[in-house]
Amino acid sequence: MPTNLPALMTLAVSYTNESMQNQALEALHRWIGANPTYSSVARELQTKVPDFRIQSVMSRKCRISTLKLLGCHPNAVDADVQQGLGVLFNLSHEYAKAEDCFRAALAVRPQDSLVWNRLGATLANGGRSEEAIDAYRHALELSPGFIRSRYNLGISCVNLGAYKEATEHFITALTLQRSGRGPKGETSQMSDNIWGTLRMAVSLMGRADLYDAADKRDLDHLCRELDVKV
Amino acid sequence: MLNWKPSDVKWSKSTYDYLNRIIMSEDADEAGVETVHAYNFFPRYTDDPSWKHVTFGFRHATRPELDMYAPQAKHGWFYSSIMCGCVRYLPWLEKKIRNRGGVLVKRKVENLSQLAGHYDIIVNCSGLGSYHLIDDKSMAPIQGQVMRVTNTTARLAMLYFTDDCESAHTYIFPWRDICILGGTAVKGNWNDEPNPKTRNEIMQRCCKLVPSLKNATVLAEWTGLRPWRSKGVRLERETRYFGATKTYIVHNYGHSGGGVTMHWGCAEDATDLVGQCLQDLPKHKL
Repeated sequence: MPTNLPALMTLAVSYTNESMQNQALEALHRWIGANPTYSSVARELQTKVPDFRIQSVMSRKCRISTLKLLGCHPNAVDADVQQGLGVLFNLSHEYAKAEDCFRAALAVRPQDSLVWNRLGATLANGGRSEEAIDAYRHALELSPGFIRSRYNLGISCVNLGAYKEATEHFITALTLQRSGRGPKGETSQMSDNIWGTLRMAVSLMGRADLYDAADKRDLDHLCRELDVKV
Repeated sequence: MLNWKPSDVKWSKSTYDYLNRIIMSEDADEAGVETVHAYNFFPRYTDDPSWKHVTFGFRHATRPELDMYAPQAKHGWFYSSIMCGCVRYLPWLEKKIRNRGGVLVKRKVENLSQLAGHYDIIVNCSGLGSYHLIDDKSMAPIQGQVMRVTNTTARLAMLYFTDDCESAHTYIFPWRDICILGGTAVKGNWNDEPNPKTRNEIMQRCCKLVPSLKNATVLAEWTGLRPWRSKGVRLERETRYFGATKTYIVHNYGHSGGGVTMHWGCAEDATDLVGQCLQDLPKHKL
C-alpha cells in the first residue's frame, strides 16, 4: 500500500477535479489510513461505514461520523485534515463548508499556494468568481509559475466576461507548459483542457479569424494576434 | 390522453404529489391550486387508464352516479383531481424565481444561434414553437377552443367522451368562482382565433350536461394549440456547435394536452439534465 501522504492527497484532488467521486473517496480513505495520526480513525470508519462511497457520504449519518472521527482529534487544527474535509465537501458540492475548511487550513499555513488555489476553486465552483480571483492572485503571488491556478484565474475571467484577460492567462499557462522539461529533459505536453478553454474564450471575443490558429495550436501566432506579452 | 407512456405517468405522479403539497400549504390560495373531484363518462366500457394510481381514490362510477350525472353514459370513472389555475399559478412561480435572483428577459427567438455564446445552457421549452425553432416536423397543433364563465354552483369536474374515448368531447372544469368550458380537438389546424359558432356549440353541449350553466356569463374565450408530437414528449440533452461555440441544449417540449398535468415531473428531469451539463462546463480545479 502506498503511504506517500502528499501523493495520496493529490490523487484525491485529481479525482475530485475529474468528478470521479468514488475514486476520490477511495483515495481520501487511503490517505486517512496511511496517516499515522488517524489510522485508528480509518479502522473505525471501516467498521462504522463499510460502504465508503459517494451515496453514503451524501448521507447525514456517514458524514457526521466522519467529521466526528476526524474533528475530535485533540491536536490543534490539522491543516491536512482540513484540506481532506475541504475536498470531501467539494465532492458533495457543499462549497460553503469546503470554504471553511480551506480557510482553517490557511490560518495554519498562510504561505501555501496550493491551499489558496483550492480555496479559489471552491469559491468559483460555488458561483463566487470575484472572490475566487483574490484567492488565485494570492496563490500566484506565492508561486508565479503555478499553472493550475493561472488556468483557474482564466476561467474566472471568462465567467466575468473579461475574455481578453482570460486569453492572456490561458496563453501564459500554455507557454509555461511548453517550456517545461521533464527530469530527463523531455519536452512536456500542453494540456487539451487549456487549449479547449482558450478556444472558447477566443470565440466569445468574436475572433473567428483565430479559430484556425487555435485548432493548429499555434501559440506564437495567438500571442502576436492577441498582443500577449509572456 | 387516456393511455400514456410509462414516463408520462411518472411525470404526472410527481406533479400530482407536488401540487397536492401546495394545496396542503399556506400558498394554496395565491398559487391557485385546489382539489376537484372529477368524473370521466364514456359511451361504453373503457379499460382503466395507466394513470389510475397517480390520482387518489380512482374508482368506477356506480350506476346511480351515472343515472344522476350522465344517463346516456355506459361507464365512468371517479377520482380526486387537481385544478392548477395558471392565471394565478404562473405569476406565483415567477415571483419565486425573481425572489431567488432569477432574471427574466422577454425576447423573440427565431433561431437558437441568437443565444449561442451568450448562455452556457439553453433549455428549450418552446412547445409548438419547436416546429420552427428547431425544425421538428414531428410536431403538430391540436387546436382547442375553450371559454371561461362565471360559476356559483358547479363543483365537480366532468369530462364526457364520445366514441373514440381518446380525448374528451365536452368538459367542465370548476375553479374558484369560474368554470372552464370546452372543448374541441382539431389536429393540424394552426388557427388560434376563437370561432363564434364553436363557442355556441360548446355552450349548448355544456348546458345540456350541467343545466345550471345556462345563467353563466362568458368572461373570456380563446383558442389554444396543444403542442402534439408524434413521438411523445422530448426530454433530452443535446450538444450543438454554433460555429466554434459549444452550447448545451436541454429539450423539454411536446406535451400535447398534458403540459400542466406533468410539468413538475418534467421540470425535475430537465433540471437533472441541466445539472449534468453544468458538470461538463469548464470547471475550476482544486
